[in-house]
Amino acid sequence: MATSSDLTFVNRADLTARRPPPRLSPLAALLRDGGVKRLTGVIYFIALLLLWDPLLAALGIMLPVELDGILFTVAICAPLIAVTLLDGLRTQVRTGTPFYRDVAFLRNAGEIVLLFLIVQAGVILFGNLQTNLARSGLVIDFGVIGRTFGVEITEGPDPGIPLDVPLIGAVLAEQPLFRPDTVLRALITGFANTVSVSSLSLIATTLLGLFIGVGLLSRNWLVRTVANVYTEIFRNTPLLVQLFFLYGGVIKALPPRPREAVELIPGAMYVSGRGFYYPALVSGDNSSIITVALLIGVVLALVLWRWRVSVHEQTGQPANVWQYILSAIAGCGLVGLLIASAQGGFPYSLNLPEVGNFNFSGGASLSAEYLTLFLGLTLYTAAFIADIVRAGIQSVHKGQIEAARALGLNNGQTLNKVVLPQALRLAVPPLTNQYLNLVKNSSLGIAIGFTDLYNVGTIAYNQTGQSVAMFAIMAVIYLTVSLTISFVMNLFNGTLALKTR
Amino acid sequence: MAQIAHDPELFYVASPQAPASRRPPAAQIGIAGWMRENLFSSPGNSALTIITALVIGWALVTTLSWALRDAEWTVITANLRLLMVGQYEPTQIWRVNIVALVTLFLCGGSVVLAAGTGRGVLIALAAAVFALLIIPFSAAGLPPPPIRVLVTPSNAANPLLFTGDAGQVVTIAVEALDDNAQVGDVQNYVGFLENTAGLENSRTLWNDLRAQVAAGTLDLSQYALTLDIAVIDAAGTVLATARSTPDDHDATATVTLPASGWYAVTITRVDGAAAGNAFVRLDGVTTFTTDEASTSARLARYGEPPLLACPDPAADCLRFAAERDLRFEGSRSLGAYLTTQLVPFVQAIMLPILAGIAAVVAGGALGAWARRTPKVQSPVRRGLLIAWVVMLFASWFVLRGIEGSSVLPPVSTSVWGGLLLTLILTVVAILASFPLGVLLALGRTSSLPILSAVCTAFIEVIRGVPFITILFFAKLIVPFFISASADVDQVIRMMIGLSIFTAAYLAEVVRGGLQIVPKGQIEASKALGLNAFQQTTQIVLPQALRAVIPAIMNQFVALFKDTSLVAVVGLFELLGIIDFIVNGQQQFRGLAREAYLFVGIIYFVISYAMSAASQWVERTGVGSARR
Repeated sequence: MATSSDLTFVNRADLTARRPPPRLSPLAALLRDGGVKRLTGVIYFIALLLLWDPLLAALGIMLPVELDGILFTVAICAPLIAVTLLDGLRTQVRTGTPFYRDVAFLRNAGEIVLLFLIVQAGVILFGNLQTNLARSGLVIDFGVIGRTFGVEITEGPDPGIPLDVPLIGAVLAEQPLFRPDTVLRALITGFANTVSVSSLSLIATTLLGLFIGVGLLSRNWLVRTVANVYTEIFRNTPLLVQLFFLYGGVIKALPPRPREAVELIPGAMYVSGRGFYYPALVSGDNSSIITVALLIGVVLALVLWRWRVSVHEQTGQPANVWQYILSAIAGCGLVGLLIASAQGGFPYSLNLPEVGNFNFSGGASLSAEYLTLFLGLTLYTAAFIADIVRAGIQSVHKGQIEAARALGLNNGQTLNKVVLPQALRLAVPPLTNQYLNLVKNSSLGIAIGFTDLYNVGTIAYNQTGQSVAMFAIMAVIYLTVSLTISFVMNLFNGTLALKTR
Repeated sequence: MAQIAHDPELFYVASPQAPASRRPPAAQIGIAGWMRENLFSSPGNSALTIITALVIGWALVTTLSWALRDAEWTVITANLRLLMVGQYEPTQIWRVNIVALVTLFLCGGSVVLAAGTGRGVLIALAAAVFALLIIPFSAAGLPPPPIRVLVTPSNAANPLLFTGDAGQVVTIAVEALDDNAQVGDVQNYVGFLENTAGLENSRTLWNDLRAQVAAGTLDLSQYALTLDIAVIDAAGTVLATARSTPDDHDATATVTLPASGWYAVTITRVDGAAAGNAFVRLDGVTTFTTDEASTSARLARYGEPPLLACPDPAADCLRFAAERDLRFEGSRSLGAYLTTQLVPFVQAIMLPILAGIAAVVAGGALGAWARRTPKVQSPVRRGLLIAWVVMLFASWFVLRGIEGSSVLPPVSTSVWGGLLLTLILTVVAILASFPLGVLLALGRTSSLPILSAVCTAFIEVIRGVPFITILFFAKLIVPFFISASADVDQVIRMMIGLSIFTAAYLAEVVRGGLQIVPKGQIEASKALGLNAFQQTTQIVLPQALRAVIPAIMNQFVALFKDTSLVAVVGLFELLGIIDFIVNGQQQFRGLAREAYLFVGIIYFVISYAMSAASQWVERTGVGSARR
């Protein structure tokens, strides 16, 4: 009979001991790092791009265009080729495998071919660009944003008045780029309009989408059917058709004269073929008291919030955070209102639009284009959001709701604490896409003459002929906006993500 | 032993007969039960139902009454060709028809072969045919609506030509405003001809008049007109005449037409005053449609329209009782809607639609036959596939034409338009974007850093900017990048823009599919000795693509809708042609609502069909990964 030591495999290795990592000199470590490699590559690429022509000129070399392009491409690829070949040869020396049979070498070779083709294509396209520009006598000039924008913009912050920004306004207004009526000022106005209409529709469409999404799941057949028909109609027709129909068929078909305008709220809200007129909120001299009071309320609310959370964590009593926060803010606001009223009358007043002969006087207004775009974006996107909301809510397992009921949660609690957190987690990524789509779709305002960023850019191009420069500027702005929204929504998504222990 | 008392009550004795089945309470079954459960389950629910029903009912009634009583659908009927094929050479439209019929035939065949025939589809087709045949037939007996011709101070109406048959009774009457004019009377004037008095928009004038009558500011003394009205035949012989004087407004003349041919109504102002308007009303005159087929049929039957004496021979003075010029103000009767709006439309679409249905049914019959007969199934399937591929390439040459050919002379893409252009853009962009999207997705997920970076940058940039930017880029910037000798035409540039845009979005969809292929599959394929290419095409892609078929179809639906954006860069596709129709032609000014609605319905039907197909694929499991 064998002893136990024969049967048992005893691992004699000391698992607690750490093997030190292979020692590398700091320089070698740096070189091994992929990021450094990539960065070096990019720097080399840019440096060559900028220095190639001066270098040739300095050396006094004149090359035919085709040869110049190919040489440039080769120069770009040269370091990669060298490194790849060296690596391949080193492997061959070390292992005896011929370098052309080495997988790593073949992969790198493929990449070099790709890079070569891309750079060569870029060189050819750039060459075409230069020849075509030279032929049409056009010089790409990003200074176009400092030129005069000759079209009056009636929507949004007026580019024709001197810039008035707190703190830095005085300095900025001196700059030639920021003088009244420059293309840059017009672009800023256009951007403000894009942001304004997008953000307003974003809020409205979320609410409407939520409403219809809940309708899609209603137990009431009629409500469900209506919600279904709504989503099908708005999802299956192009937004542009909806915008044209709203603009040409509904809003512009309303009588333009103020006297014939449709009264939504008698004496206060009107819609006519020229736009939407609503009461403006005018703050009096003593309204700053309210602002201060509300600020105090917010601070108080923050303190209360911290306190309730700690009470909840220590004693398990319900936190009721929202009740405390809302009552703190509302209470402070009310106190501020009382003080202000006692000092000099009610601090706010409404300025109602008044029907005039040719136009409304007083009040605030949205142009017909703004109204159309706002309605169009809201109605269209809501159909998509409704479907996302429906899918989100349906994804919550029935057992979850039953379990919540079994624990004694009421309807509201079930919705707030069980259904919504899980539904939102699924809904946020597609919702992000819809928000991005909404912002991008606001560029369709150009079709109905809304002066958004895109429209301003196109007008500037038409006036100056600087198509390449203007399109580069617009692409950069839109990309920035898109990436920012993605980033914010990703942050939000991160806070919702399942926290596993 | 004690006798057990048998109390029959204590025992349960099953009766030999089954108990009579009892119906559930009436409130739980049938319509009442359904309504109770789905509409009125609780007080809150009942309130919700009633409120929704009221809102929806109001919306439906408003929309329908507008569509039947106020809308001028003649803008659609008169421009049907523009809407369908744009300004494609009218003599060459047979080429479009052939491509459409072949496509429908193949569609019918492929769909029936793959999915079989649902009874619902057959019933729908039969219903469509029935409706197409019955609507014109049923409306044939309706009297034509009265036509009014406006007489203005500066210009009495020119002779109004119409065609009539022997025995037809025509009545003409003057409808003048007099001292007793009330708003109510005025509102009931409906159905007038536009462009009859050298006036571009009689509606505006009419509305002004009505407002003045309502406000009591109209000077009725100016309306004391003296008019001579007459019906004359092609030779100029007066058949009936009547005179309306300030003392006796109601001049009426009735005539029974002696023979078939052209007739005209003439109106002469005798008073010579320079103020006041009036309407002359015509009863029993049929308005005629102006499409090419009807025009040539009319020429054949009644001959050339006669050149009657004009007040001013130089001016284009002949006016026709054309349907497309007939406008309505106030409310129109259902009969007028049928005779002037629906029937002409149905007549215009009847032949093409019947031919289309015939092609689909023929294809479907082939498919059904192949489905029943296993022997021919795979040859037919293969044949259909080959036919599709051949058709897609051949149709480009059929539509575009071949240089120097006498049968297929070239048709410039600049005259392509309407639904034809929309569909061509969609099909080409689908065919181009799909492979490009798959390649981009593979590139992005590849382990090669440069390839991956390039693909990622491409996808993200395209997805980050609005589509319209890409179209303008294709229109304005791309020419700078192409060498001067290669001039790519606008339509092709738009196709490239659409394809690239869709490819970037498709790439993300496909990437999602690639992520769900289990790693074990790839390892197994490596273990089997497949190389990278085989592994991708035979193991990874089939599974990845199959999993995302619904998402891909959604992307194609989005692409179809996005083709409407090329209207903004100046192509006359289905949406762009509307501007051409509504703003480019005087008599259709202000009819944008009808036109956009019609186009919206076309977009809806096609998108909905595409979504339904994708849902069908999802449901039947053709698209799901095999389990």
